[in-house]
Amino acid sequence: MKYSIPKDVCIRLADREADYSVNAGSLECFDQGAQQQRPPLNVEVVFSIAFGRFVHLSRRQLRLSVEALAQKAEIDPSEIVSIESDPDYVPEPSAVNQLAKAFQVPPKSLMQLARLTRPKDPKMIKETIRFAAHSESIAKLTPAEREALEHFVAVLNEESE
Amino acid sequence: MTEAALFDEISEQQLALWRTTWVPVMQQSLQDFKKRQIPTDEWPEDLHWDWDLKLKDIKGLLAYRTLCLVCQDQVQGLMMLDLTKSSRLSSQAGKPLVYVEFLATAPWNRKELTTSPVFRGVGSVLIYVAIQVSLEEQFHGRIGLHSLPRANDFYQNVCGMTLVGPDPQKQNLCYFEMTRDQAKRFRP
Repeated sequence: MKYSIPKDVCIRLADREADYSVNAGSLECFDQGAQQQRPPLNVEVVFSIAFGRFVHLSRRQLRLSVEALAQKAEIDPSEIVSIESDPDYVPEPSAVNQLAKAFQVPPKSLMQLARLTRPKDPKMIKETIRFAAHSESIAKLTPAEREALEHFVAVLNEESE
Repeated sequence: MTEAALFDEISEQQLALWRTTWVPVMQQSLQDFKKRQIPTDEWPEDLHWDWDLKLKDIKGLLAYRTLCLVCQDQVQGLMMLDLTKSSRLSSQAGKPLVYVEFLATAPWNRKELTTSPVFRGVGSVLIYVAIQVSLEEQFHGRIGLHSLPRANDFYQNVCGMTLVGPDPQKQNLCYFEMTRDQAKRFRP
């Protein structure tokens, strides 16, 4: 149990609520989300690798060290190291939000890439696989990598529209 | 005043309680409504919600949080939060918020289903916690949700949220947002 609310607050909340209906959500008979198929496991792995590479390349493109990016995004440097190097690592939503802000890409798209939400658009899946395949990490950002990165940024921007 | 416990995850045990307590009451209500030939638009608006499916759907996704309010060994309220959404209000457009994906109170707490509800305040306590989560995520108390039609008054008048408008993407349900100032005012 994580949250505790003082008794007097509960009493005031209950008095204020009285007999109002309070439900929020959806009217659909079957929630769309429940019917969506999870992407197959290999797609999830590809997304994870693509997310790590995206952060790595974007950081290098901005000529930022891990520490400098951590400072810019106001997150812990270890979070960036884990994202870039560990395909099994699933970041906190707040860290992904901060990175989206630092890289100026839509948080919604980056959340999908980080496997925090499920990708719905087949184009996004296809482009992510393409990006993962074309963005092998090497010491210096090559023109091809830059092209791959810039193309993928455009896809991420398009995805959120 | 009765002691209540708020859990920051809906456990298997609590889900089983939902299945064995809420579902039969809702099904019985459905039979009554049918028997009395009550028009379908007067039936409970969340009659079809399946929390089993909802939880399976988000399993393993860290962007979602589930919360469960338990009192007298019964599940009194359930809520699912999505931490990936951003504000649609022009005054705070694009800023991250906690989106209340689903919020429900137990059928025995609802005036529409019983003449004497057992507990009041379940919805408000859950909204209070949604604000708390928003503060923890450094979203400054901002929350958003789609209200079911009969709950519009609650979110607008009791919670003091701003009505952004009906959302054609979501069965024209009214979409509400709470700003950081409204969140401060909500917390008594």
